[in-house]
Amino acid sequence: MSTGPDRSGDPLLRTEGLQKYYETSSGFIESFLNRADQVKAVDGVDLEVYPGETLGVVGESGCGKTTLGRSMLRLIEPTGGSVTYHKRNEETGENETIEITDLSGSELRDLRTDVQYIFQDPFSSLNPRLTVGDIVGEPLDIHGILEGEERERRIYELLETVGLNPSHANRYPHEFSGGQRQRIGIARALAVDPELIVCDEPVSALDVSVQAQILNLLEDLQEEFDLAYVFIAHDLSVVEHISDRIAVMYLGELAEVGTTEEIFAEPYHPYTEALLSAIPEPDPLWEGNQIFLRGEVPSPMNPPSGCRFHTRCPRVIPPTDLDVDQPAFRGVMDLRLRLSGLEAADGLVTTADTDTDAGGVEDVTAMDVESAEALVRNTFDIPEWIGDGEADDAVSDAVRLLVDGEVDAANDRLEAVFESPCETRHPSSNHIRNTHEIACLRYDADAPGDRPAVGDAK
Amino acid sequence: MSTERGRIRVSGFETERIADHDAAEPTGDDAEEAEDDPEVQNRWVRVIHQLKRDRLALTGMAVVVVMLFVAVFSRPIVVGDVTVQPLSLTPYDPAQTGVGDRYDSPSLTHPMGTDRLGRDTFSRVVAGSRYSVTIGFVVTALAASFGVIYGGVSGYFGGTTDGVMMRLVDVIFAFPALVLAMILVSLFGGGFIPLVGAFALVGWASYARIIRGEILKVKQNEYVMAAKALGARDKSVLFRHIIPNAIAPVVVQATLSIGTVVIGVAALGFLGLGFDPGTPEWGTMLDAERDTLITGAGGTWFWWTTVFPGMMIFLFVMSINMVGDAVNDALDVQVDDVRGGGG
Repeated sequence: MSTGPDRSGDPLLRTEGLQKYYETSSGFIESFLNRADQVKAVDGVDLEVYPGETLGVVGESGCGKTTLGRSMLRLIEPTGGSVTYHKRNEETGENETIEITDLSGSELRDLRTDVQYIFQDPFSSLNPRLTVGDIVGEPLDIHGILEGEERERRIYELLETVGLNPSHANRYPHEFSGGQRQRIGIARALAVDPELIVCDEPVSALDVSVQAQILNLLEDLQEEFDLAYVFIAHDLSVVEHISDRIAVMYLGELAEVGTTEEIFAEPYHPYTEALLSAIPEPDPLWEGNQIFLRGEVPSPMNPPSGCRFHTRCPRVIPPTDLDVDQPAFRGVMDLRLRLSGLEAADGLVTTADTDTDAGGVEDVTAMDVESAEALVRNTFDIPEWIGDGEADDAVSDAVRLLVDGEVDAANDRLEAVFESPCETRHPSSNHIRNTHEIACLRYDADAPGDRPAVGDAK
Repeated sequence: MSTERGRIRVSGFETERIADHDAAEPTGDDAEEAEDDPEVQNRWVRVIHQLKRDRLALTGMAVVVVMLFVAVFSRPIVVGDVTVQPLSLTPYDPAQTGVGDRYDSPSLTHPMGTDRLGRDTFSRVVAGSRYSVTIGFVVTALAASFGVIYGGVSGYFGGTTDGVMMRLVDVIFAFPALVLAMILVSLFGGGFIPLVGAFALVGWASYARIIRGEILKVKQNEYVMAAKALGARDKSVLFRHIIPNAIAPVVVQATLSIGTVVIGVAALGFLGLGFDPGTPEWGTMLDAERDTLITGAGGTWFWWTTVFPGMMIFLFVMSINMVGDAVNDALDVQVDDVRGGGG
């Protein structure tokens, strides 16, 4: 994307501290006993969308992208935070600020003529009982925009705009292919002449050749109607293609926000770095250093303390008084994670962790201290000599405690030495540049630890 | 080896070419063929096609249609002072006594004989279709419409609304349907309207329960959220998007339950509830002649007074059930028929 739209004025849509928590159970007994857990699907997201721009939202499955898109438009009720929409008044030319979270039912219906939504699944997002003409014409009926012959003409025009044959208005959705159905969905969203369209993975359900067509169509429409998009996707190459700015989400929070160029260049949020390294490359001679994140995305029901990414972060910050290199520290962090979820010491090392499957070696409590330490260091990629006397002592002590079966004590011993600031401090968004924000302690001037050079970094 | 990306680029996906290609796509042969392909026909068209192939269903349908026709044209219909329908298919007035001797056996003048008061059984059986058949259809239409709206609202809004509304349905299900109808008829007296009311009141609950379950499923579809995103009101989301997609099992249940209602009305008639004793309703006719079911003095047995009304009940219910089964097969839906016999 070249110059990009003007971001000097008011944003079209702004979310502040947007939250959506789900109750895991609505059962009477559980809520009575106060046992219901909350799933923090979206937890305090601040975003701006400017007129005419495309904001890409990326993240792994289940990180809350769709929930964010839907609660932004109050298709699902957010549980906290605010969403403001700046409506351009056509007559006076002045901006009117609307707080979406405060709107009543009928005001919210009026807002639907300004903000629209395109759904991920083109097969379930069209009512199979209605003709294409009725589907596209529905917003016109709901808002009483056009009637009779004008309505017909507008439907034909919309179908033509999205590259469909207007003579097919009397057909049913099942007569169309996936790509054509997605075009119908786009025509429906365009019918009210919106300012902003939230596109929820609009191409994920389509095959690759059709993806390109739909993306190009969306770009053409943006140019023609001066639309702003919030483009939700898990595919970075798709997002790079279409976005002016990108927001990277991890576990319900924003990790990094910036223009497409900024996201795709250093400095990176460690999570973005891992995501970028995972983009496939057609070059058989390419040998990029792909970053493989360990473990799985933690449950949003009980997200990690501090920085939510610290359980998997390849650049987790060691305590200031500790002189260890990154892989070793990551290894100790993994060991500590495993210990904190462990009930008995004999489950510490499983066969899945080791290549050797000689019977019995996994049970550290049945081993002598030396071989147990070797096994633990080997399994968690902790080198023989970490580089800091205190650190090595802590690891050895912990293994000794483990052999005695005292998991909690071992964990405490490690925590005393290896507690990362990432575990205790929640990173705030740090402005690297005007448009570039990274929520990582490595870029936080107040946080302890080494920081990469920021500012003129390429 | 290199760590630099983008040394190989794939070209040939220029926008113009793709746009051209795609614009041609919908007008292509694929779309034309789709219309002839039975797989993608409109569902109701497909159902009708399938029904046409089902001989049993066609026979049933024919019987039902003939009975409906007879119900309309058996006696003149007068609204106010204006005769809306002047035709009369019955050879005699069904209420007229002494058109023949008492207990005349079937003959050319009285094809189904005469009853104890010398009334023509054929005329009575024909006129009786008006009561039994119409009650079946009217009750089902009323109960299904109310049940669908009730269950629709309950399932769509969910939560507490659903909880409260469904408990009322549970209350209705707590009574045996026919007994509840009987109580209502005894409370409010017999006649057409109270009977319709009684059977509709006990019948709607099963429709409500069926459609609620279906709606819980249908409302998960994204087109429901799409309609909300367009700003549609709850009413139009429910009636335009959800109910049309959830109605199939209700149609099946309704077809099957027409017969059940007819049997229920006949049963009440036989028990002496429902219509006045002289009314030519099939169940009531059976009740009036029930002493002829056993052989009378001197080996006389006036079988025709009960066999013909009974046959009509059997024929109608059998036919409507054949139609219902065929509709069920054609729609291929699982019906949770929670109700036992009766109402």
